Amino acid sequence: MTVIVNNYPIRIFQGAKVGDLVLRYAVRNKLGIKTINNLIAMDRWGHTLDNEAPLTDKQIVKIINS
Amino acid sequence: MKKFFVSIITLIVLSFPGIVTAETVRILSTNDMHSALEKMPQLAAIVDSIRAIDPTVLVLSAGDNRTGNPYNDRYEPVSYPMIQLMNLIGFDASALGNHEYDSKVEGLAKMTALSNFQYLAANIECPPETGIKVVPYQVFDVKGIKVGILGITQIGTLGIPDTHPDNVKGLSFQQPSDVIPKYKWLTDQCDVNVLLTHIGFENDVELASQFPYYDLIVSSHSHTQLEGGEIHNGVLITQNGYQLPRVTLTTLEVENGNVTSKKAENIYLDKFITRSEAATALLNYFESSPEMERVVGNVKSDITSYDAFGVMMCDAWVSECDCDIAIENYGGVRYDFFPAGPIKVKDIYNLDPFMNNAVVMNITGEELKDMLIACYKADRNRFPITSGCTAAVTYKDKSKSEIKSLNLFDTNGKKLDMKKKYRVMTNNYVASIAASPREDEGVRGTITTSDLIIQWLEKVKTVDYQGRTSFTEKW
Repeated sequence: MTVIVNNYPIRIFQGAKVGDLVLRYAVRNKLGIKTINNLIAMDRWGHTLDNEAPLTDKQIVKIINS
Repeated sequence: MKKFFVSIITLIVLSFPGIVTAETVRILSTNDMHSALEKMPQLAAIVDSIRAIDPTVLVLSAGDNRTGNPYNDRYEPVSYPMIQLMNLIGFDASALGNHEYDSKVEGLAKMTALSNFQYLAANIECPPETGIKVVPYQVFDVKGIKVGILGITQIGTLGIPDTHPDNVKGLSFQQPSDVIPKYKWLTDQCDVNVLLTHIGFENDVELASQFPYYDLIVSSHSHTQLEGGEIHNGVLITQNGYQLPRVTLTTLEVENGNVTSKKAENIYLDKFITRSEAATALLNYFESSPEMERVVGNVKSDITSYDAFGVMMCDAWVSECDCDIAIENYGGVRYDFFPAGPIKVKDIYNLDPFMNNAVVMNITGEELKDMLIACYKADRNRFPITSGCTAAVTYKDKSKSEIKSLNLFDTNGKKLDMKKKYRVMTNNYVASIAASPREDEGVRGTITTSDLIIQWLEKVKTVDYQGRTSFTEKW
């Protein structure tokens, strides 16, 4: 499936959760896995999403570095 | 101190006009508790405190009560600890989350039979022979006010809840927006109308736009952290994170059969230090479960390295996921020594403690090679462990900071066919960090990788992995 992160598509496996997406985002952006604790994922409304939150195809997610 | 916290609850409850009058309906709601057993004594104390002020408060769960803690999810009958704690607290109703189906129809039937509260889902059809006790809605009389609650269960892209299709065999599901209009008559008969859903916040916003005659949507599934609630198209939506960081207290004022005001606010569990003694005693009982001490296999001779344990884990996954190859990141193996003798359930949870799930994909030998290299780079330059293939890794120098060449071999020692497709299993961590391009990203299942190892050990009974490794290194 494809999730739209900060306006860019990221392909990831079906059934991925927010924590998986944050990891993929960190690796793709060469942020290093240790930085993931500083990354915060939010939905299109700006609500915080925890790492166990499920994702759906075409979902819009914003990831910021706190 | 207990009095202080009871006072806080009192202030919250009494901060609205019409103190405990026939016109006030209070609902305490949770969502996505995911087996948060350790939070239940605090939740019980909060519910007790509110009931002391308003005995008519309705306590609702929007589903996914289970899956997330082996003490609950491995219990037999499954999820019995969580259900007993919910019974003790006195939940009034629960939606069916997608994880309620994780133990198949038989498991769900047992769960519903053991629960003292009703499960609500209007968009599921359960044939009577399944034994699942679920109804579409329930009407509560709260001080003479009719509160109608319609349940909605989650449906994913496959037209079933997000669980393994085998788990919902024999059940049929309908889209929420097709079903909800059929219950318009119920909303005409009730003073307060609530949707108890497990479909995620974004879908609930959509429901609010389609069905504005509902007063409240108790939302779940997306683990959205709301500050109290939000009004969308006049409908109040509440949801409160994952594993009970907070619960939501919603207060609705009703005059002449109409809701005149509604408000929701969060109660923080970690700030509420009072714990119910009865729930604590029950929790202690369940946490001393003999399941963790159960012997699942026998280790023939001492296992003395991470590599050997990693190969054992991968062998288990190849077998249990019916795959050609399995991959484990080196850092994911948490034992480097285990003495010959019995191996218990708790040992497997210590060996593989991350509650990861299997991700199965069909990829070419070339894609597999790229994936192994990507995993090595992301896992602090440690080459991953495999089963179903072996690897000969040559680094540029002794620092192992860069791979110069990588050759893969099948189980017969022949070079792996780089164009052939293989069914490969790994955990969701590796599938995420190994960000090399591949046509098939795979599918994440619901069973944990540790549970797969336990399943496998119960079958093979005795293992001997002393000295085993899956790759050679040189520079």
